[in-house]
Amino acid sequence: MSYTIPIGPYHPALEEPYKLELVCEGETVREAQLQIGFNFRAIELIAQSRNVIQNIALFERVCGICSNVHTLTYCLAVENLLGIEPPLRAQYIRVIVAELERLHSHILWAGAAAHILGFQTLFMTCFRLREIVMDLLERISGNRVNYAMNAVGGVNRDLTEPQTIRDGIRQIQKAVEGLILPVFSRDPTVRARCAGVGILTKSDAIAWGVVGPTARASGVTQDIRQAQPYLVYDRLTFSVPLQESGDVLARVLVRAMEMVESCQIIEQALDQLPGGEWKGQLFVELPPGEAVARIEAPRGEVFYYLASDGSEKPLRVKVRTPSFVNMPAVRLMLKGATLADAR
Amino acid sequence: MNMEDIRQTLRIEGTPIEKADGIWWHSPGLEVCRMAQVFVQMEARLITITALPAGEAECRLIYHWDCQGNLWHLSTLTQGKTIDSIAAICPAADWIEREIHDLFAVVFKGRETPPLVLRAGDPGGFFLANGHVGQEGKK
Repeated sequence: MSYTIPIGPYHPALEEPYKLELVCEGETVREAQLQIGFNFRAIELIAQSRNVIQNIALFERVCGICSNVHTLTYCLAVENLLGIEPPLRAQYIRVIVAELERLHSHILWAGAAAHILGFQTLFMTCFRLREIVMDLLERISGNRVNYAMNAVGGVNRDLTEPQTIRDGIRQIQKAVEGLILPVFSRDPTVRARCAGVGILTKSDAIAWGVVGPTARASGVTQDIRQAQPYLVYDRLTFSVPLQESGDVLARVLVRAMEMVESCQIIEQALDQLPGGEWKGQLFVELPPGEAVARIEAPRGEVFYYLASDGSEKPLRVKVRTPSFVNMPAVRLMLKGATLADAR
Repeated sequence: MNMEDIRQTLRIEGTPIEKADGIWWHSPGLEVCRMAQVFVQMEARLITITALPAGEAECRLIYHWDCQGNLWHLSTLTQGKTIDSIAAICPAADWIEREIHDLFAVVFKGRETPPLVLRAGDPGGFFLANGHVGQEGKK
């Protein structure tokens, strides 16, 4: 006999307000349904009533953890439509802030994973490291959540303390390589809880259009920073960690390894940081037309479509977040899982 | 498969426009199921579908594909606010089509579209489609 267990939309184990309905037989999940939309804010509609500049502040609020990637992708779309390119220094600053944000997101994710595993020491360690990243972002931007760094055609603030960033990054890299990576790859408790759990096969990941670390943990080589380099990523050397097993352990490991890569990207960007102009320009109106932009956000590809009729307000802005395409795959990960793992 | 092969296979009218952000191709009579089959065969990934109002009654749908790192944006128009669903060919379209149905009231033939971003009972096409202004008051 099967029975249904509802989880969410508000539940201690859920990081976001969605609802899961698990159809179980005994302890085994046979089917799972997801419901979203509990915090639908109609941001795309609001964007149609604001001008190009006002929309930067609006899109900063799409995601609390990845606020920078949304303004960055939006500004890239506007720049594509205008046919302009930011100064080189601004592009390097954008890369540094984007990679700091990736570190922030991945460290937060690792901490949340450790907390769910019941590994409180690692949870505390991750959140201590997260403070370092947030302090760095605050030193650069003056804010710990919404950094307001991106402007059309440049950035709003210069990067004035490269050595402080370098020192912070070295602390983080040491902790990731010395503690987080070894724990996630070798600790027997982590392996027992994560290995073979929540498998997403490579073929399912491709069919469902899954992106980011979730796709790379299922063996899908896909990273926009290398597939279609933007900003100055083609001037930086880094590898894209890949795992084949598609389970929770693989998703944890991919993220942990990506933290090390991000630290190395930031070091290189600081080494190469050129002098010169960095400020954006003031554009009030867009030319008529349409453009897209996409970047590799911490959770995968973020995609923006922008259409303009030549007025100061966009005709349409479409926002495609990585979670929107990754969430449907949760259903596949849960099929056949035990109820305890699903929660 | 090069651009000419795709044009012949899909019987696309119009001229593609190559820009820095990909290849843009508008074809009002595009057969979307055939397009999905061809792109899935080429191991392309459906990034998303953008819908925007076209006149008072119709919508323009832009299918954004990532084909080995290259972007393709193929667009077409709905007919009577209706178009074939590609979700059976490309599962990634499932939530995307449901979202468009919620926001623009586009009907996707060949599938059910239960509410996704709106809650059950909310009227579809509530926010972004032309000709649906004022439905908030009816709720």
